[in-house]
Amino acid sequence: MSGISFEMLLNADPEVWRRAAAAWDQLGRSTDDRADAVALSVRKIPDVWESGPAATRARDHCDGLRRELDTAFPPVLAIAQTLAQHANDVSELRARAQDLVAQARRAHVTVNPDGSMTVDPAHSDEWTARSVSQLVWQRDALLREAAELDARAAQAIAENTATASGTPMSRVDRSRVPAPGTDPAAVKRWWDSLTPAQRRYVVAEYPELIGALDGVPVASRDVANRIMLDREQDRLTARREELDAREAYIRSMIEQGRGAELYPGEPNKLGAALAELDRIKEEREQINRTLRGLDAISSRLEDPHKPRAYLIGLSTEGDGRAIVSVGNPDTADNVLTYVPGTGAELSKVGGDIARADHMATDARMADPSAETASIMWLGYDAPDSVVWNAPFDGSAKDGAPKLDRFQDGLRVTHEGEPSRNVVLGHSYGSTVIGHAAQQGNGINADALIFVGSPGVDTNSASDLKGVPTSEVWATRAEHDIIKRVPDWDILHGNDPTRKDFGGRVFSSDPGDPNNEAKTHSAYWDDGNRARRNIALIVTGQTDKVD
Amino acid sequence: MAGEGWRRTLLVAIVTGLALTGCQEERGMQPTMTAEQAAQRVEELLQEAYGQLPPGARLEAFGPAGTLPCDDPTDGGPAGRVFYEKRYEVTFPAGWPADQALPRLAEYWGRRGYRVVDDMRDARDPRLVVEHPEDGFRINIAVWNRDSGDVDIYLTGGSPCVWEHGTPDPQ
Repeated sequence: MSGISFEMLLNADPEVWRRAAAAWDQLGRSTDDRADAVALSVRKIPDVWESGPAATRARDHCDGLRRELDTAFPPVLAIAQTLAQHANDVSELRARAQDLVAQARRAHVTVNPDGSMTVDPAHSDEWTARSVSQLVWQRDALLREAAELDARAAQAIAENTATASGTPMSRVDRSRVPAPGTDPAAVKRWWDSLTPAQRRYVVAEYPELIGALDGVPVASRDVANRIMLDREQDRLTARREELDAREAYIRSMIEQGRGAELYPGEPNKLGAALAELDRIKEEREQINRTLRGLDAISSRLEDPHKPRAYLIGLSTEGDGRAIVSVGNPDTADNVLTYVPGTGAELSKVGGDIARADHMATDARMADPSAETASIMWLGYDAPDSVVWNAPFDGSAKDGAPKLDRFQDGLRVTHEGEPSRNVVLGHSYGSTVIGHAAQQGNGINADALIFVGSPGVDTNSASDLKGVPTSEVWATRAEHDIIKRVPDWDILHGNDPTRKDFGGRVFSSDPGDPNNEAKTHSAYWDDGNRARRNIALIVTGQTDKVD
Repeated sequence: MAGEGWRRTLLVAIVTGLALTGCQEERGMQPTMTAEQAAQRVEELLQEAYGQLPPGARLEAFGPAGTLPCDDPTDGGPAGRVFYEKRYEVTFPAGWPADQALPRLAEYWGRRGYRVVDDMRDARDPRLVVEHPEDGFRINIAVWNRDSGDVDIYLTGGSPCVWEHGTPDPQ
């Protein structure tokens, strides 16, 4: 056994690792900023130093510097992630060690700082003896786990330190990366076949492929997507600057009376100028919306006061997509996937991440002995409005296979005992889940929760496959506007809280009869009974749900 | 697909109804206190509740405090409002009268005219949610009786819907 004593475990301070993780995150950001600055300098070299061997040498040198800085970014992120995960693990182990001491006290046994145990002479009987042997077994299991965690963290840090300081990675051809949509189990087999050096290579070189690939462990997807996030923020910011410059140029040409020079060969020159200005305005607004979402994700990822968040998916196409997990689902005991409904889009993602954060805290309150990861899954293009688009929208058909594959991926990358996986859909999000649970062999989940649902594409819980019917849950507030969608089986199926649907209904606050629209999203309000019930279902305490 | 036509006609009727219901939200455009002021008020109410507990207990922040969206913008209401929420765990030494915490607060809140929003005092893990009579701020005490025999107590406070900066956000 390694040198971790019971005393060390009891006195371990996870904050030290948390602070170190934040510092490595900071280092990653500044390294990346430097790389960006060097890249900019390289582009400017020809302006000041036209040509010749010296200019070439300077450019090559700067290019090399930039590559080195770029290469350091992923391992630095991985080290930050390892430290943050270690902080969580230590914090959990310490809580269990403290619990053991309390448990022993109730059994009249004192656990000494060195882990040895003393029985209260007044209670020295057969029962106490049995307790002691049980306690000793638990103590040893804890110490074994602590030693394993310590070794694993140390190894991850050592591997990445070597990479950050220049050890070459092993090249893997791009064509060897499984195509999007590959069965997550096959992806996992491929991943397992790579050496650690090859894994680091694919994460650093093909982050756009690895970040989105279900079946790759979450920790690696997170690093890949953080690289993508950073790239997208840089790309969009640069594009916005370009648009600003082009707009200023067009305006100044028009002001100087030289507008005609802008569009040689175009008969309607003013029309062309106005049309381009319109296009610029539109594109800039779209960029601003996307950046608002990316910034919200960044600030959550960088927040050292909250549990570590993992970026499991990111795309800026269309309304954008994002998958953010509070806590690591690959190591958690319970995993909640929250599918937001109509109106959800990248630009407003901050609010949905906050819901995931609060559901994680609620779960921890309901069961502090278990680790719960809470995922905000905006992996589909949600309809913009429950009123205008949702009824005719194909979003559920588009989103269902993605959600299905995502849940399969969570299973194959999970370490140790399988987690309790719960998928929750709000509003139209529940329709996506219903759709996913009716395709092929259904959805890979231990429980489904439908909140304020307009229907889940079937009138019977027993049509939902991959999940026990006894774990299909639904709630609808008495004054939720969604009740205005009638049960005529014309939209997405009937209300899943109906008796004949056959699911299990749990209560939520009735809401405001004078504000049904507000009630539709009040399920996460402070003190709402729905939140308590959701936490109980997520942590598997279903007998307490009411 | 056959039947799509009549479905659409019917839906337009339903949808018009839904859209009209959405108009109720117009009053949401009024200025409110800011999220920061809401946070201060939540803290005040939590500390006030803490003051009513038997001495010897401490408050420890539990989970991140922060704002949550309190509307789905596309449901007809204005976008961008939030509510602030904060939770504390009440930690206490062995022998502290944990069973008195909830009755004491119930009594105190009753005396101060707080409105009971959700009363689960009879549950195995009892909880009481109340609302301040004047400003609509909510506070709740939740007591969890763990299988291990331990008792954990939490105090949570939340604000009504406010604009982050006090006035409608032009997003």
